[in-house]
Amino acid sequence: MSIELEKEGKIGLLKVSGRLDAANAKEMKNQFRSYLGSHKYFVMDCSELNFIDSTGLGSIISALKSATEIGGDIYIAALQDKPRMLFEITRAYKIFEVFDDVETAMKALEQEMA
Amino acid sequence: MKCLIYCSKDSSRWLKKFFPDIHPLILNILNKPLLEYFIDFCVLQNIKDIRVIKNDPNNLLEDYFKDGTQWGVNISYSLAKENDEPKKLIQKNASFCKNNDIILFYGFFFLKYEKGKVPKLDISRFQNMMINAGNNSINIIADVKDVFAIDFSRQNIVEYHEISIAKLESIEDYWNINMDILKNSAEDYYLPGYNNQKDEYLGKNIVFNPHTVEFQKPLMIGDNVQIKDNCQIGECSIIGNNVIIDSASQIEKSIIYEQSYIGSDLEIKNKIVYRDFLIDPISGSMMQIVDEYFVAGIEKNILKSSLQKLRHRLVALLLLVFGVLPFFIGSCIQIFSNIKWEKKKFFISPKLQVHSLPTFLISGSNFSSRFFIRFMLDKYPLLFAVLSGKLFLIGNQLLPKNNLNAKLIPKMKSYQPALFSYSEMLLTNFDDPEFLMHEMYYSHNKNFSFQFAIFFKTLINRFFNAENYLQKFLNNKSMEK
Repeated sequence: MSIELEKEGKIGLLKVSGRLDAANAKEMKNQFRSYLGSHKYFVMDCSELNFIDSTGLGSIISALKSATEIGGDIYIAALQDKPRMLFEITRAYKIFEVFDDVETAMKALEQEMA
Repeated sequence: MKCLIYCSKDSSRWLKKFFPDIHPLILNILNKPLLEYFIDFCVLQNIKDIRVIKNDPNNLLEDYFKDGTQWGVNISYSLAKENDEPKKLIQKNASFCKNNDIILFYGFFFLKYEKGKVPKLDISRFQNMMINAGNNSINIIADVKDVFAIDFSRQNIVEYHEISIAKLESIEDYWNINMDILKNSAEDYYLPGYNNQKDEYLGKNIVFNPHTVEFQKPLMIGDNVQIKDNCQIGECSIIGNNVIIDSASQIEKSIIYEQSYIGSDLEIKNKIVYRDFLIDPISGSMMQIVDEYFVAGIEKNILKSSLQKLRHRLVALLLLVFGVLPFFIGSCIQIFSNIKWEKKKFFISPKLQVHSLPTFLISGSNFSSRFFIRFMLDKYPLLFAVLSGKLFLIGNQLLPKNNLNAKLIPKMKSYQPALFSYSEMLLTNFDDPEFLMHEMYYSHNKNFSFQFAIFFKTLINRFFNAENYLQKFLNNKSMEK
């Protein structure tokens, strides 16, 4: 799993790739916390996230929780089929704003911030 | 007339990805192996002799269908190459076919017919006819004399409304056929079940609580199925034999294959679950769920789930025993204070089921109210609800019945109302924007150590910060009003 803050500006573009599971969920949480100093709004680009389990999902929820605690938010973009299925069956789509692509997610978040 | 059945490997190759250890002819359509539909058709046609031609050496078919006695037919088996053409198959089974009219089912498909309407095949009318769909066909050959003289290229392709081929070329086809038959033509087939009514096909030994589980027709449920509290089994649910669906899960337009476990608080819509695989039939995506408590093979989770409940009840029992003395003292103090008990209605399930539970009323902060908070005496009578299984010991915040909470609960991943909650530990009020977030966070991170932490942190915080808890308590009470 790798997580990178790709885009600077008001919105941080988080590129998450690989597998997000129990083995690296903690790393994800810690890395995300380190980004909170510079940003509070994020779009999470999941186009290269090809696997996620419940612990991984928990780490994304934890990130959302940390962001909302400081008045920010995380939008999810470009979920691939397998992670999307997990978002569906766990009803996680009800607490996240999920978009088909990064561009739309960025625009929607910009509107939300305005 | 005799019947030959051959499922070519090419036409069923796609199936291996999704059901790696199932022979295509044993694939369940509405909880019944595909081959049984062919056998039913043969019985309707008074065909007694059936030969199943295999192209692999395993004995899965023989083990299941044996010699066909159970169905009142004689089933024999033979072998052929993976992609043998119909002509070759007749030649390879010459002794079975000779001097008989033959119907050959060739390919991998579902045979559509109406059991009450399908007429006897008139061989004089249908001889050397073929019902064709792609690589699949139903060939009818009259009076096979010389197996080398049959010319399949000269067979006439016909359309026959009473019998047709429904293609099974993808996982979407498979899902569509199941949904279509259950919804529109279930009465056309002999379907499994012991208590079949219109749109309702039920097996034996289905265990559920009729007060908490909701069903919506049409549906099919196999044998030995356990459906735990607060589940919703929506329309077009096909649940196989030996399945456990854990509490508060929702199934709709989905196929839950036999021997599968569905964890609690899940929403399975338009999906196929095969053991620990989750399949999206529309996109063809498939994922193996590695978390046992989501979706799994059946054996692993029964013990785990039972142990968790047992653990909650045991701790509740211990708290009841050790809390007797403080509760007695508290009750004495109560006589001289302004604390009163009252029964109030709470939501106790994700389905918004309501139950009356005792709560204590306090008008302000004083020694007696702090004593109650410090020793958790406000929770003492609720321990009986944990023992009876109505509440969890540690779970989601128990929410009182009101319109706001009725809208909030469906947004949660799960709602397992409990005496101790993460939100309470963090002193979050119902109206705080982060309340839902904390509840979701709990649902996705709950495990033994997290629950243990919530329980002990709440005990310690209440003891040392009784005033803060009391203020939260008073604030929530005013919210309820």
